[in-house]
Amino acid sequence: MYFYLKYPFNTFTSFLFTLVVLSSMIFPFFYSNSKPRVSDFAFEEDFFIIIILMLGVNFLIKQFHEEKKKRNIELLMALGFSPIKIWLCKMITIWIITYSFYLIGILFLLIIPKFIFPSEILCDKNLIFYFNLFLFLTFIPFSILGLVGVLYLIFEDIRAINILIILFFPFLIFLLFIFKKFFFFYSFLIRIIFTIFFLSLSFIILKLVPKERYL
Amino acid sequence: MAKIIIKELTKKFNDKLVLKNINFEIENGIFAYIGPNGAGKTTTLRVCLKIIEPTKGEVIMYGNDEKPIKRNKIGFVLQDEEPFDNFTPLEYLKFYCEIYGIENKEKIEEILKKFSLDKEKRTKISKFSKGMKRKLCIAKAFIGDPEILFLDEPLEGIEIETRKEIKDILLEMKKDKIIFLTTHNLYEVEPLCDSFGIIMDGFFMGKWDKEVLKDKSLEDFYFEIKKQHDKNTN
Repeated sequence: MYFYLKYPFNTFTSFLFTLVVLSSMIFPFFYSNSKPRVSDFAFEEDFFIIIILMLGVNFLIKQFHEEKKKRNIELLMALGFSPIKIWLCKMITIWIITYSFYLIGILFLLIIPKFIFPSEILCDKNLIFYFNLFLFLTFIPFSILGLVGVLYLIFEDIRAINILIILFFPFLIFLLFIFKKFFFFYSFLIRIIFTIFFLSLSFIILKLVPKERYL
Repeated sequence: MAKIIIKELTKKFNDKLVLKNINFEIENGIFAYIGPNGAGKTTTLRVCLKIIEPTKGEVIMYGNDEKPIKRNKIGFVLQDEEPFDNFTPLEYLKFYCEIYGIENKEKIEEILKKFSLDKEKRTKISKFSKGMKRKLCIAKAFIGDPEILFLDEPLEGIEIETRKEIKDILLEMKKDKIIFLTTHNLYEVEPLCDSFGIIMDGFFMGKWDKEVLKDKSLEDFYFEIKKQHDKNTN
């Protein structure tokens, strides 16, 4: 966490990003003639997955790619930290900070429209919905962030990875959407499987790749 | 007495052999590991620090108690290493004290004084010159009171005054330590080292005590070895 306190600008921009992106998703409804229910759109789950991914990638670049360029990863390895330990410690801080911003964003989204659209019912969801929103929904994006972190750690040139992210994120969201539409009752299970798959893949890569790839 | 034993050390990157069956032993004192760029100096040092794994062979290190050395008794400065810009020297050394598990915070003040950094201890490192940053990195290497110290080209690209200062500190602090120093600058290292080894194209050419330089300079000696190496490889 010390890293984020020492680099407040990066943390602040991410915080701003959360508020700006979430607000911009709500603003179109201000002047909508047809007045769709805010809840119809804003609580579409996939939208939150994208938010978490976008927030997390910002920190990943700082924590993995830039640290590797500054040769701080080599420094940590010289101090006796294994690549798995380095990845895990960095990912835990990224998960914590991303989740904190995600929470702030959600609360912002829940509270602000209540003042702007008093007639809209935003919170007519049951407990499972909130449990999903605050916990289960974060599993997949956090596991994907973990995998992207591994890739940033291994590759020196991250342009190819960034292109992959741009292509892969929408594809994954689409895939999840399809699963949800056709196998709604299994969507939770599918998410867990995806999460385990991405995390296992991250650990396998970290275990198999020779240490010189991290330098 | 501390000891480093390098046994049959071989390292391959993809298909390229960068270290070719290296064998030697070092005991207390300053050991200069000399060779041209790309000879394998940094790779040897990385294997010693366990940053990378050797393809074959091993590096065994003993502390002054003749038992296998603990990790926190090994200090190092990597090639082109720079301290974290957003820290002050005090914060930087505190950070390493935490990593090495050192509770004696007076050690920080002592080290800062020794390296003449005590006046700037609360100045942001980003405002430091390259020489001062390098000095701080070397200061960091001494924080755990190491018995073995690896310094990868510590005098490279820094101003004359700081270079002299660092050399004096190394000579002063070499007692009961192995200082393993890599360099390609023969003039710098000659007055500093107690023994030296030469590596060329991944081949370890040999280890000598400084006494062999009685009637010739290190430069002359180096070129004799190089000539021999060129003859053998052609």
